[in-house]
Amino acid sequence: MKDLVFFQNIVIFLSISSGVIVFLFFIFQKQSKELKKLKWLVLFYVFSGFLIDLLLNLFQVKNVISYNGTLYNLYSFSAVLFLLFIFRQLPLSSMFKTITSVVYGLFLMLFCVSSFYAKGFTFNNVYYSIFLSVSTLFFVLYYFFWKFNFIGTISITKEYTFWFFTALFVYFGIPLVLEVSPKLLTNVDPIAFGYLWQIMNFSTVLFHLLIAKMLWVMKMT
Amino acid sequence: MGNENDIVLIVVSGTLLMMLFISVIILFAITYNRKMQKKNSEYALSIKEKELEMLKKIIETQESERDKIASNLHDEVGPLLSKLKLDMSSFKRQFEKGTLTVEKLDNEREFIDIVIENVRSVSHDLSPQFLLKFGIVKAIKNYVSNIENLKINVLEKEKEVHLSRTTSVNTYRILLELINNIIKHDNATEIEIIFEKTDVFFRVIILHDGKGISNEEFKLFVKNSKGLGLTSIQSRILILNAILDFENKTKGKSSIKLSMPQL
Repeated sequence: MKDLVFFQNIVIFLSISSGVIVFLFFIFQKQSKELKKLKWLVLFYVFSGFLIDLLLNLFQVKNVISYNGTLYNLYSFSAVLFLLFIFRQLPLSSMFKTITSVVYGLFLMLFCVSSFYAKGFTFNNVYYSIFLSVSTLFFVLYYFFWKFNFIGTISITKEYTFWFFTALFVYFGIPLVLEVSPKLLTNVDPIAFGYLWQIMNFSTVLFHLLIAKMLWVMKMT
Repeated sequence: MGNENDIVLIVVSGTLLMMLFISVIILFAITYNRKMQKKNSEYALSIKEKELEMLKKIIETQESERDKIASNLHDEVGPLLSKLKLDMSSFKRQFEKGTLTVEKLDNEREFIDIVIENVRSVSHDLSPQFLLKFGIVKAIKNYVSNIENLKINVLEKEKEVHLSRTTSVNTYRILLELINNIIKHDNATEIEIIFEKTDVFFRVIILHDGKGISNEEFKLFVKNSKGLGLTSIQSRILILNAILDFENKTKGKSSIKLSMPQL
């Protein structure tokens, strides 16, 4: 049991500290003007995720759960804002950009109406997270499918967009099963739930590493 | 407790499956891309090698033609002009002595005709004026009309065959080389040359009653050939993006088909 707690703490630590790697890449790497906007958006999302993660873990240590709903909502809000604007900055087809803007724009409207007027900002609707993950995964898979048309003519690993979409794939894909089974998870005791939640932190570590790789590739571009 | 374990198992196995799915897609994209890039770069390299080979052959052909012209001038026109100079000195002496006859002058005029013919031949090697003026079909007709002891028939399926200068010159040189080879090596007594032209391609078919060769034999000859005739054919084929197809003794006749895209 002690080993599991130790493992859990390690993953939490890695999840938070891996964000620092992204900050370091952000500070020490100079990019072209066109990519600067993209970099700031990435920083915004990583920083908000980092802050929310930190607060969630701090509250968990102090056994305070009353802010969890608000924090998860803040996380969803920053995620949808990030996704709404980041796709517009990437070198993708205009149709792809329009579809993502419409989907995330509608989602943002629904989310705002639901959070501020219907159930309040402290209530976290898990279906929003599921929708966000599934729609993002759909776009990621579309990107990979689209990229297969150019395979062989370009080196996809030298494109920062490939690493960005890989990061999204990992970040929204790995914890998907965890997200779609919240009702099931309520039947699990809080300790087991805590362990399972490390899947989320594990995907965050991978996300940060892949974003760092993306920033590294952006430098070479 | 059992229910709880089931839920944990479902979530963990579901997550592992998802991780497997993501890894497979990403790894497939990376490895497939690497494989395709390697294939493409190998293809690009082979194209480059072919281009280099073509360039080499073109240069070799140009050099051989220059050598041929230089040797023509040096070995044929040069000695003739030297002889003419000596004759002029001799005529001067004979004139002073009063021994110069009209017959000698007539002989000398015939000799000058030979020099002119030689210069014309060199000039023709440099640039076949007849070909450029009258076109490929007439140029070939004109060329074969000078060949004795051989029945050569030239047929034109289209009324007028207009080709670009490069195509004309290269096709003409290939045909000359092929006709000479048929005469020299195939023991032919009858040759038929057919010119065909559509919107898509231009083709020359040479039919003859000689023994002929196959495509494999031609490749072997090119490989083992020390002369420049076959190399010149090959380099010109590359320039024209043409196909040369040999067939020996089909329906009693051997054939050579030279086809190229019509631009």
